[in-house]
Amino acid sequence: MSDWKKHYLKVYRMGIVLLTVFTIYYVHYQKSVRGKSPVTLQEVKVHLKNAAKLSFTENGILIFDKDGANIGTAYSTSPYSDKIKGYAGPTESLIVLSPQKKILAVSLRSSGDTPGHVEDVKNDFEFIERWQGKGFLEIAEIEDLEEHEIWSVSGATRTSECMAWGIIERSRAFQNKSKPLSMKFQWKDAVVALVLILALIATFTKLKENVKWRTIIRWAIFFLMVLFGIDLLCLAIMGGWTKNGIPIHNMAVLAGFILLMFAIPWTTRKQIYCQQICPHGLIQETMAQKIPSKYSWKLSKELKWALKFIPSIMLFFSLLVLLFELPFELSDLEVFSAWYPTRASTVCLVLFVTSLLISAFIPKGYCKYACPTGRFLEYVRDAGKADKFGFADKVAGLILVILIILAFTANKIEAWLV
Amino acid sequence: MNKKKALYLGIIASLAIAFTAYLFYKKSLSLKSEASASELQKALLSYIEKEEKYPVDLGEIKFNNRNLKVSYEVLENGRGCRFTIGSQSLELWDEKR
Repeated sequence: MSDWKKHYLKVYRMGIVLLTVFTIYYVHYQKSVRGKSPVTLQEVKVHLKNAAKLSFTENGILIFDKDGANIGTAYSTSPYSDKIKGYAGPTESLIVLSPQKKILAVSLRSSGDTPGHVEDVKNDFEFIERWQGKGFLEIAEIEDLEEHEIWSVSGATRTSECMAWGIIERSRAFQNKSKPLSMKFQWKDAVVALVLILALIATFTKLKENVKWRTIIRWAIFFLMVLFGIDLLCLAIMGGWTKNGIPIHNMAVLAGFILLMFAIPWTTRKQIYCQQICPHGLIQETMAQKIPSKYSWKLSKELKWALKFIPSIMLFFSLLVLLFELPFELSDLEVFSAWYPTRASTVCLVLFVTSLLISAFIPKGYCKYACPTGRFLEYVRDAGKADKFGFADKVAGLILVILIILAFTANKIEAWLV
Repeated sequence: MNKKKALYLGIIASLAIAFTAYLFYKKSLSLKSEASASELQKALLSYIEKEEKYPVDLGEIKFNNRNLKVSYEVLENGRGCRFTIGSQSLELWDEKR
């Protein structure tokens, strides 16, 4: 294939990916511009039972009882908290204050994070009650949550911290004390960087030809990823970032790592993530080596052909989930959350065990027939001279067109659903 | 494409379509519940403000239930009420509680 044709194909594929991301982002951006649902009297009544009327003013939402006396003020943290993102998106909270500006209650209104994590935060009464009685003006000074006895919710750390910083940011905005978000780095970022360096060594240096060293590096990466609970590349995280933007201020290293996982195969033909980093791939590979081939299932050619469509169908399904916010957790479509069982749902754990059982009889069965993330990475990979505009490219183009049409009609479809 | 390939792909696609349709159905139910619960709550609040009591049943309240099953009960001798509509459930209490 001539050079220009090869580049044209690469640009086409990356174009499809970027336009898909942009379409999803645009739909959610439009929703946020139209504004989140305004605070209602019913919401306030949950916390302040005497509330009879709300008045929306520049100084907040004034709450009156039925005799017209001011009994408090309410604030929604949005839009001030929108720049603060948790695992996959911002969290909007409601703050109800007494006339003396003491916090009477806080509650989570909406969040771009995984529904499971959001429910964990909503149901953690200790986390919610920690705010009661604190001075609304004083919380603007908080720099360290734990120093003020605000402990994040176990299993939903990022979501609860995002909610906490959103409440603090609202107080700062009220007093014109807003600060630009500073870059935050955690010790986990050093582990991510180390994983990246090891993977680059195993992919691009002469060590890749040495089986022993390659194996040592892969297992080192495996233990680093699993023991330190590093977020794996998965649809849940990519979907959240597509909808809400990349939380660059607190996940810059992870974001850079994920972008490189796409940029490297796109430019160098090396599938670095699947081959060097993914722990599920390594376990399946090890099983394939240890289990004698006589136990392998022999799938018919036709079945193999059909099964290979599953990851692409899952990708299209994920786009629908993102576009219409269907009640489904993308983390349940893949096995990756199950590497950290405390974060995983039952569905994910079942999928994890099943995938390993199947891989015992179909070598790397999950990677070949059920991994949408792997399929996504494979799609952008430059396949070299043999690469040509094929069936997958036509389908990807068609999916993009369908997605754009759906994006423009999403509101009408949702209205029809009600 | 031979018959076997078409059959296998047909099964996979049908399962995917059925599951997606089920999720749209769930989404629809959830949107209907939210909308109906919001309407019912508003209607109840205006009834309570006017009559200064909770209605005994929902016969006196006009709202669009969107063909969803609604359950309603008065709590603690008329000091509050609870309704469930689809996936939404809510309690209202008087301020002296």
